[in-house]
Amino acid sequence: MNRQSPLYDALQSRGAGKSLSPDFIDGAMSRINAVDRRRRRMRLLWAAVGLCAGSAAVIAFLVLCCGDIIAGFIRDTAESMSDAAGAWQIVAMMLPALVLLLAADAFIRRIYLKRLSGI
Amino acid sequence: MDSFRTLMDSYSQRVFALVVRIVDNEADAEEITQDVFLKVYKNLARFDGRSMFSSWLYRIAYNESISHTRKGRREVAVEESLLRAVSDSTVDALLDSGDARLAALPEALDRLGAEERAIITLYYMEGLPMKEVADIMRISESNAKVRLMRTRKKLYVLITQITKRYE
Repeated sequence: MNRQSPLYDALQSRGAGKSLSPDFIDGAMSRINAVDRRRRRMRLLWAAVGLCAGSAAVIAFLVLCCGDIIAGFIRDTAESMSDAAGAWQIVAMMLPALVLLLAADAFIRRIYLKRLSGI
Repeated sequence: MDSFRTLMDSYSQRVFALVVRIVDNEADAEEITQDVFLKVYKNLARFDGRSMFSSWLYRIAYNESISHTRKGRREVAVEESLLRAVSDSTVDALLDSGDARLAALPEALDRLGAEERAIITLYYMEGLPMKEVADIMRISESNAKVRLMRTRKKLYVLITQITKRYE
Protein backbone atom coordinates (compact mmCIF):
# COMPACT_ATOMS: atom_id res chain seq x y z
CA MET A 1 0.00 0.00 0.00
CA ASN A 2 1.19 3.51 -0.81
CA ARG A 3 0.36 4.78 2.66
CA GLN A 4 2.62 2.23 4.34
CA SER A 5 5.65 3.47 2.41
CA PRO A 6 8.21 5.73 4.14
CA LEU A 7 7.74 7.97 1.12
CA TYR A 8 4.18 8.69 2.25
CA ASP A 9 5.43 9.79 5.68
CA ALA A 10 8.17 11.95 4.15
CA LEU A 11 5.69 13.64 1.82
CA GLN A 12 3.18 14.05 4.62
CA SER A 13 5.68 15.87 6.84
CA ARG A 14 6.82 17.94 3.86
CA GLY A 15 3.43 19.62 3.66
CA ALA A 16 2.70 19.53 7.38
CA GLY A 17 1.67 22.87 8.87
CA LYS A 18 1.16 24.41 5.44
CA SER A 19 -2.39 25.40 4.68
CA LEU A 20 -4.37 27.93 2.71
CA SER A 21 -4.97 31.31 4.30
CA PRO A 22 -8.49 31.78 5.74
CA ASP A 23 -9.41 34.41 3.15
CA PHE A 24 -8.25 32.24 0.23
CA ILE A 25 -11.74 31.56 -1.11
CA ASP A 26 -12.77 35.23 -0.89
CA GLY A 27 -9.60 36.26 -2.75
CA ALA A 28 -10.12 33.64 -5.44
CA MET A 29 -13.81 34.55 -5.79
CA SER A 30 -13.02 38.23 -6.28
CA ARG A 31 -10.55 37.32 -9.06
CA ILE A 32 -13.18 35.06 -10.63
CA ASN A 33 -15.80 37.82 -10.38
CA ALA A 34 -13.43 40.25 -12.11
CA VAL A 35 -12.87 37.76 -14.93
CA ASP A 36 -16.60 37.21 -15.18
CA ARG A 37 -17.33 40.94 -15.40
CA ARG A 38 -14.70 41.35 -18.12
CA ARG A 39 -16.20 38.43 -20.03
CA ARG A 40 -19.69 39.98 -19.84
CA ARG A 41 -18.35 43.36 -20.98
CA MET A 42 -16.69 41.71 -23.95
CA ARG A 43 -19.88 39.83 -24.79
CA LEU A 44 -21.85 43.10 -24.62
CA LEU A 45 -19.28 44.80 -26.83
CA TRP A 46 -19.47 42.03 -29.41
CA ALA A 47 -23.26 42.11 -29.26
CA ALA A 48 -23.16 45.87 -29.99
CA VAL A 49 -20.67 45.34 -32.83
CA GLY A 50 -22.90 42.60 -34.24
CA LEU A 51 -25.98 44.81 -33.98
CA CYS A 52 -24.20 47.69 -35.77
CA ALA A 53 -22.90 45.40 -38.51
CA GLY A 54 -26.36 43.82 -38.93
CA SER A 55 -28.10 47.22 -39.09
CA ALA A 56 -25.55 48.51 -41.60
CA ALA A 57 -26.09 45.43 -43.76
CA VAL A 58 -29.90 45.80 -43.65
CA ILE A 59 -29.74 49.52 -44.48
CA ALA A 60 -27.27 48.91 -47.30
CA PHE A 61 -29.53 46.16 -48.69
CA LEU A 62 -32.62 48.39 -48.50
CA VAL A 63 -30.88 51.36 -50.11
CA LEU A 64 -29.22 49.33 -52.86
CA CYS A 65 -32.02 46.89 -53.72
CA CYS A 66 -35.24 48.60 -52.65
CA GLY A 67 -34.29 52.27 -53.11
CA ASP A 68 -36.92 52.87 -55.81
CA ILE A 69 -39.70 51.25 -53.77
CA ILE A 70 -38.83 53.34 -50.69
CA ALA A 71 -38.64 56.55 -52.74
CA GLY A 72 -42.06 55.73 -54.28
CA PHE A 73 -43.54 55.04 -50.85
CA ILE A 74 -42.24 58.36 -49.48
CA ARG A 75 -43.67 60.23 -52.53
CA ASP A 76 -47.10 58.52 -52.15
CA THR A 77 -47.14 59.23 -48.41
CA ALA A 78 -46.36 62.90 -48.99
CA GLU A 79 -49.22 63.10 -51.53
CA SER A 80 -51.64 61.38 -49.11
CA MET A 81 -50.62 63.74 -46.30
CA SER A 82 -51.89 66.70 -48.36
CA ASP A 83 -55.50 66.04 -47.25
CA ALA A 84 -56.55 65.49 -43.59
CA ALA A 85 -58.27 62.13 -44.11
CA GLY A 86 -55.18 60.69 -45.75
CA ALA A 87 -53.02 61.97 -42.89
CA TRP A 88 -55.17 60.19 -40.30
CA GLN A 89 -54.99 57.03 -42.36
CA ILE A 90 -51.21 57.20 -42.26
CA VAL A 91 -51.25 57.76 -38.49
CA ALA A 92 -53.58 54.78 -38.03
CA MET A 93 -51.18 52.65 -40.04
CA MET A 94 -48.01 53.88 -38.36
CA LEU A 95 -49.25 53.63 -34.76
CA PRO A 96 -49.66 49.81 -34.56
CA ALA A 97 -46.35 49.44 -36.43
CA LEU A 98 -44.67 51.65 -33.83
CA VAL A 99 -46.21 49.70 -30.93
CA LEU A 100 -45.09 46.46 -32.54
CA LEU A 101 -41.53 47.74 -32.95
CA LEU A 102 -41.35 48.99 -29.34
CA ALA A 103 -42.66 45.66 -28.04
CA ALA A 104 -40.06 43.77 -30.09
CA ASP A 105 -37.36 46.10 -28.77
CA ALA A 106 -38.42 45.53 -25.14
CA PHE A 107 -38.54 41.77 -25.71
CA ILE A 108 -35.06 41.64 -27.26
CA ARG A 109 -33.61 43.84 -24.53
CA ARG A 110 -35.07 41.57 -21.84
CA ILE A 111 -33.57 38.47 -23.46
CA TYR A 112 -30.14 40.13 -23.77
CA LEU A 113 -30.24 41.44 -20.21
CA LYS A 114 -31.09 37.95 -18.95
CA ARG A 115 -28.27 36.42 -20.94
CA LEU A 116 -25.74 39.02 -19.92
CA SER A 117 -26.59 38.81 -16.25
CA GLY A 118 -26.19 35.04 -16.47
CA ILE A 119 -29.69 34.17 -15.20
CA MET B 1 -21.43 31.54 -8.50
CA ASP B 2 -22.42 30.05 -5.14
CA SER B 3 -22.04 26.55 -6.51
CA PHE B 4 -18.50 27.37 -7.63
CA ARG B 5 -17.71 28.62 -4.12
CA THR B 6 -18.95 25.28 -2.77
CA LEU B 7 -16.78 23.43 -5.28
CA MET B 8 -13.78 25.48 -4.21
CA ASP B 9 -14.60 24.82 -0.59
CA SER B 10 -14.47 21.08 -1.16
CA TYR B 11 -11.39 20.88 -3.37
CA SER B 12 -9.10 23.82 -2.52
CA GLN B 13 -7.24 22.11 0.33
CA ARG B 14 -6.62 18.98 -1.74
CA VAL B 15 -5.33 20.99 -4.68
CA PHE B 16 -3.15 23.06 -2.36
CA ALA B 17 -1.78 19.89 -0.71
CA LEU B 18 -0.64 18.62 -4.12
CA VAL B 19 0.74 21.95 -5.34
CA VAL B 20 2.66 22.76 -2.16
CA ARG B 21 4.45 19.42 -2.36
CA ILE B 22 5.48 20.08 -5.94
CA VAL B 23 6.56 23.72 -5.67
CA ASP B 24 7.65 23.57 -2.01
CA ASN B 25 6.67 27.16 -1.24
CA GLU B 26 3.52 28.05 0.65
CA ALA B 27 2.94 31.50 -0.87
CA ASP B 28 3.58 30.28 -4.43
CA ALA B 29 1.36 27.26 -3.83
CA GLU B 30 -1.51 29.48 -2.71
CA GLU B 31 -1.16 31.69 -5.78
CA ILE B 32 -1.01 28.64 -8.07
CA THR B 33 -4.09 27.18 -6.35
CA GLN B 34 -5.94 30.41 -7.14
CA ASP B 35 -4.78 30.22 -10.76
CA VAL B 36 -5.98 26.62 -10.91
CA PHE B 37 -9.51 27.56 -9.83
CA LEU B 38 -9.56 30.52 -12.19
CA LYS B 39 -8.68 28.15 -15.03
CA VAL B 40 -11.30 25.67 -13.84
CA TYR B 41 -13.92 28.44 -13.87
CA LYS B 42 -12.96 29.55 -17.38
CA ASN B 43 -12.91 26.00 -18.78
CA LEU B 44 -15.69 24.34 -16.82
CA ALA B 45 -17.82 24.09 -19.95
CA ARG B 46 -15.04 22.09 -21.63
CA PHE B 47 -15.03 19.37 -18.97
CA ASP B 48 -16.53 16.46 -20.89
CA GLY B 49 -16.93 14.04 -17.99
CA ARG B 50 -14.80 11.35 -19.65
CA SER B 51 -12.42 11.37 -16.70
CA MET B 52 -13.21 11.99 -13.05
CA PHE B 53 -13.60 15.63 -12.07
CA SER B 54 -10.83 15.28 -9.49
CA SER B 55 -8.45 13.93 -12.16
CA TRP B 56 -9.24 16.86 -14.42
CA LEU B 57 -8.67 19.27 -11.53
CA TYR B 58 -5.39 17.57 -10.59
CA ARG B 59 -4.26 17.74 -14.21
CA ILE B 60 -4.74 21.52 -14.23
CA ALA B 61 -2.98 21.78 -10.85
CA TYR B 62 -0.13 19.60 -12.12
CA ASN B 63 0.30 21.66 -15.32
CA GLU B 64 0.22 24.97 -13.44
CA SER B 65 2.76 23.74 -10.88
CA ILE B 66 5.11 22.40 -13.53
CA SER B 67 4.98 25.57 -15.63
CA HIS B 68 5.58 27.63 -12.48
CA THR B 69 8.60 25.60 -11.40
CA ARG B 70 10.09 25.70 -14.89
CA LYS B 71 10.66 29.42 -14.37
CA GLY B 72 13.47 28.73 -11.93
CA ARG B 73 13.99 25.76 -9.73
CA ARG B 74 17.08 23.87 -8.78
CA GLU B 75 17.00 20.25 -9.87
CA VAL B 76 19.92 18.02 -9.10
CA ALA B 77 20.84 15.93 -12.12
CA VAL B 78 21.99 12.39 -11.51
CA GLU B 79 24.22 10.63 -13.98
CA GLU B 80 22.44 8.09 -16.15
CA SER B 81 25.12 5.47 -15.44
CA LEU B 82 24.45 5.73 -11.70
CA LEU B 83 20.74 5.13 -12.25
CA ARG B 84 21.42 2.17 -14.51
CA ALA B 85 23.76 0.60 -11.97
CA VAL B 86 20.98 0.40 -9.35
CA SER B 87 18.70 -2.61 -9.44
CA ASP B 88 14.98 -2.42 -8.67
CA SER B 89 15.34 -4.78 -5.72
CA THR B 90 18.05 -2.60 -4.11
CA VAL B 91 15.77 0.43 -4.40
CA ASP B 92 12.82 -1.50 -2.93
CA ALA B 93 14.98 -2.74 -0.07
CA LEU B 94 15.82 0.82 0.93
CA LEU B 95 12.66 2.77 0.16
CA ASP B 96 10.16 0.25 1.46
CA SER B 97 12.01 -0.48 4.70
CA GLY B 98 12.79 1.28 7.96
CA ASP B 99 16.45 1.80 7.01
CA ALA B 100 18.26 4.50 9.01
CA ARG B 101 19.45 6.08 5.77
CA LEU B 102 15.86 7.17 5.15
CA ALA B 103 16.57 10.12 7.44
CA ALA B 104 18.03 11.67 4.30
CA LEU B 105 14.77 11.20 2.41
CA PRO B 106 13.39 14.74 2.95
CA GLU B 107 16.61 16.27 1.58
CA ALA B 108 16.56 13.86 -1.34
CA LEU B 109 12.95 14.82 -2.12
CA ASP B 110 14.06 18.45 -2.13
CA ARG B 111 16.56 17.70 -4.87
CA LEU B 112 14.07 16.07 -7.21
CA GLY B 113 12.66 17.90 -10.20
CA ALA B 114 9.06 19.14 -10.13
CA GLU B 115 7.77 16.36 -12.39
CA GLU B 116 9.47 13.73 -10.29
CA ARG B 117 8.04 15.18 -7.09
CA ALA B 118 4.64 15.32 -8.74
CA ILE B 119 4.60 11.64 -9.70
CA ILE B 120 5.80 10.63 -6.24
CA THR B 121 3.15 12.83 -4.58
CA LEU B 122 0.31 11.64 -6.80
CA TYR B 123 1.17 8.00 -6.26
CA TYR B 124 2.30 7.87 -2.65
CA MET B 125 0.63 10.87 -1.05
CA GLU B 126 -2.68 10.99 -2.91
CA GLY B 127 -2.72 7.22 -3.24
CA LEU B 128 -3.94 7.36 -6.84
CA PRO B 129 -3.76 4.27 -9.04
CA MET B 130 -1.09 4.32 -11.74
CA LYS B 131 -3.70 4.66 -14.50
CA GLU B 132 -5.05 7.87 -12.98
CA VAL B 133 -1.53 9.24 -12.39
CA ALA B 134 -0.80 8.61 -16.06
CA ASP B 135 -4.07 10.30 -17.03
CA ILE B 136 -3.22 13.39 -14.98
CA MET B 137 0.27 13.61 -16.46
CA ARG B 138 -1.07 12.85 -19.96
CA ILE B 139 1.32 9.99 -20.52
CA SER B 140 0.76 6.27 -21.02
CA GLU B 141 0.43 4.01 -18.00
CA SER B 142 3.63 2.13 -18.88
CA ASN B 143 5.50 5.41 -19.24
CA ALA B 144 4.21 6.52 -15.83
CA LYS B 145 5.46 3.26 -14.30
CA VAL B 146 8.89 3.76 -15.87
CA ARG B 147 9.02 7.34 -14.60
CA LEU B 148 8.05 6.28 -11.09
CA MET B 149 10.70 3.57 -11.04
CA ARG B 150 13.28 6.03 -12.35
CA THR B 151 12.37 8.55 -9.67
CA ARG B 152 12.68 5.89 -6.99
CA LYS B 153 16.13 5.03 -8.34
CA LYS B 154 17.11 8.68 -8.32
CA LEU B 155 15.94 8.95 -4.72
CA TYR B 156 18.10 5.95 -3.87
CA VAL B 157 21.17 7.52 -5.48
CA LEU B 158 20.52 10.88 -3.80
CA ILE B 159 19.99 9.26 -0.37
CA THR B 160 23.26 7.34 -0.79
CA GLN B 161 25.11 10.53 -1.78
CA ILE B 162 23.66 12.54 1.12
CA THR B 163 24.39 9.78 3.63
CA LYS B 164 27.99 9.49 2.42
CA ARG B 165 28.45 13.23 2.80
CA TYR B 166 27.43 13.11 6.44
CA GLU B 167 29.59 10.07 7.28
